[in-house]
Amino acid sequence: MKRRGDPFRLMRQAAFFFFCVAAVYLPITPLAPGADRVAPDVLYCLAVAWVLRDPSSAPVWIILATGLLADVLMARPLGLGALGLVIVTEIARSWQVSIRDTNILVEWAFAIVLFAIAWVATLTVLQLSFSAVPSLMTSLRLIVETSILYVVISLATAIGMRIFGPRRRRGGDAYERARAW
Amino acid sequence: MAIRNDQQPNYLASLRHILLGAAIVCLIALFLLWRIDNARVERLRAALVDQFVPSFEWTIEPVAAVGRLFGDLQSYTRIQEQNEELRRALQRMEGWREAALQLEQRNARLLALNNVRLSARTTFVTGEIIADASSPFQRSAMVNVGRIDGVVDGSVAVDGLGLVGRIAGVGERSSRILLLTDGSSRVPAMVRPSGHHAIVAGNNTRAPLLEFVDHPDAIQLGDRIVTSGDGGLFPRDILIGQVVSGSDGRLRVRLSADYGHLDFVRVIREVPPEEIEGPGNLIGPVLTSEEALLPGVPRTMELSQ
Repeated sequence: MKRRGDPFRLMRQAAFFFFCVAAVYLPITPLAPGADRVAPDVLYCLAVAWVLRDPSSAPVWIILATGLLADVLMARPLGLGALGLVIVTEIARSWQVSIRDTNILVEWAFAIVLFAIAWVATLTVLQLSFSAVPSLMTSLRLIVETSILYVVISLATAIGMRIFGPRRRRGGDAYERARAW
Repeated sequence: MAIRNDQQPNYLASLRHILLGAAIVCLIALFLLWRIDNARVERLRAALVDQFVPSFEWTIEPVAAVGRLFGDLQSYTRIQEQNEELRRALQRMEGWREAALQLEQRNARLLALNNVRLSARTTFVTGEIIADASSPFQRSAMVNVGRIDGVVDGSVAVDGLGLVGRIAGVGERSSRILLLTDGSSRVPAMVRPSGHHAIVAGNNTRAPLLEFVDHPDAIQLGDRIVTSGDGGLFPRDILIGQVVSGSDGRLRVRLSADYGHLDFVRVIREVPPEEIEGPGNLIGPVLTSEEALLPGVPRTMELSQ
């Protein structure tokens, strides 16, 4: 039997793109340039929270493009941040079925452990390529701030998905593991 | 072995895996290119930033304005204290203003007496900070002046009081300032009044370290630190900050630039001094011993006599 397509998927995809671009531009807003702060990774929180709830409207090409944009604008090692984001979201996509029915604590722990592993991997690659790496304190602050922000973004995404997200089919797989483009 | 006829191979999923693998390989290649040919890729980055950031300025500005509004609202709670602080500061400044005026007049008199011609090699252009491009990897900010305003890589950026950083990456209409707090920032400095040389080394905190001090015992807390001009990277005598002692006992610098409120910065445009090529025909070519003995050729001895 042919499945009926989700009429709002495209709209959710557009919304995901818009929020990802906003997540890149928000940390570079000059609120207090030069201040001693470490901005949390907003794009990571948004991408993972969205992929865990509605992977079909979070295609990998949007994640790749906005990850690269973030690398360019935020003076990060070019390509490495986008690579980490793509790999992490693909892992989240493959675990989405297992994570989606658990509570938010498990999801939070999953997202933060994934972020910490990705960050350590990034630092290892930088160290191996003789690049400058951030200090331990900066890394810890980044992980803590991102983990706090993840709770906020995850809750906001959950509320948004409850209103505009895909409906669960009775006895079926509402959060279909769509291999989105 | 039984094969079900109704199961079709998922070509789309396979194609997706192939494209994803290709994208990952491209990203790894991009990182390697950045690592190997950093200067060229950074120029490309500057060009891309030049395209993206100024075109989104109309969206960034309102968000920044709202953020600053909230910051100002917080400061209203201690408006009485601020008022008193400002009155005291104004009183001190009045004294300094008078001293500065007297010094200016005295300086003008001395210059006139000595017929000194000062070199006007430096001018500046003022720009607005349009993006806070800081990340765990770099402390930098984007400013809305670029190549068309005469900004070049290495230009010095100052705010009203002190050194902010230097330009590292120039686009047509925007450029990136590498802040003094960045982990890779190193500024040759001089401690006043002792005159000892040191290096102000950024370490991703608000108080950079004072390293390679000539005589640490001669340094007093509160001494002023200015650029020494060594190496020709920074002009001389730009105020950096004051010597303070960190909680770890190491000498640090309290920056004079207002790093909490960097809204506008001046980018100093320094015209390189004219190079004088050759001796200007005053000294002739070196002659061989045979040429020197020929009649009609002036000898060095004769010339010197």
